[in-house]
Amino acid sequence: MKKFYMAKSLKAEEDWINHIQEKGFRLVKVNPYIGSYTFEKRKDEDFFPTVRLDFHQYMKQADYDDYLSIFTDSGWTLLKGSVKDSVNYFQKTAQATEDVIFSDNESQLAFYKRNKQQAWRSFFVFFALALSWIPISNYQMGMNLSHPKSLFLTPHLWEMTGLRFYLSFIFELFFVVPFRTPFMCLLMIAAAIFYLYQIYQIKKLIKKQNTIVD
Amino acid sequence: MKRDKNLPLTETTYYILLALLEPAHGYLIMQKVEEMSQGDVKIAAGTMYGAIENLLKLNWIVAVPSEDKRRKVYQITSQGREILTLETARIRKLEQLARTLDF
Repeated sequence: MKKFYMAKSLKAEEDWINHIQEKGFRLVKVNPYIGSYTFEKRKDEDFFPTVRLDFHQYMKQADYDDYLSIFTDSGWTLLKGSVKDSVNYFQKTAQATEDVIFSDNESQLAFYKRNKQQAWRSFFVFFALALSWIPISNYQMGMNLSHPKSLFLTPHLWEMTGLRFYLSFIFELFFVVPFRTPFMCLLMIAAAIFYLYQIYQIKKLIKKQNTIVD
Repeated sequence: MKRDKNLPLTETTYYILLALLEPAHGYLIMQKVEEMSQGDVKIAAGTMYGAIENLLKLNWIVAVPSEDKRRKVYQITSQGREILTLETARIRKLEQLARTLDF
């Protein structure tokens, strides 16, 4: 069973995965870049294969080996992740004695803060891209979206007919949409807003974690 | 006298420093702490790694050479021992205070 999901935080992603697993499935494959998750029907009904996510950036290979050995030694298998990935997905095995990967408040908070930092970085990247795309897609320079035909530059495009027209039209469309309309710019603004929303959600988690201690 | 700004230590940190009076790798530290605390303190994997990272940065522990290619072995440094001494003195003071109040 394949599912798609866009998570508002790593914690929310983890909760969502375990929620699906509770219905008798186990996560077997993740593609974090497109947000696809493959689940299989669970054979062993008695054991719950909890999934936990951790976030670290720029680890050295030797540090990552040590990091991974701590997890595998204590009964967690790596479901998805590598030294290059910042998010590592771990799944509990029968050997594990703990159900969590963060056992104190400090480390749980530090995890949320790493997640928040990453969301800020992504926000700035997309915000900068959106700004820099405005001159690239110079749609404000006399180009008129209400006359979409004027966005196309191929001479005599609109006088062509048949297959020749469709081929030329579709070919140029791949240039017109990103470079002569605000489409890409809006897409990047949408991504930036999504990351702001993530930051807001993670801040809520941090606040909640702080009140547990008080 | 001004107190060291790193005090008080978290319970996790205190136990890890105690465990590293002898060299140990990550998972061994987890097992030792559970044993030393009679099961009260169980350090989870992510917390363990984060703690090692922090303690290395503070120079309270150091990686020592080992046969194992994957697992790093750590040990307490003289700075780490110093902090352990200060923290233990702090805890003793608390204990003595509690005692005078019949606790």
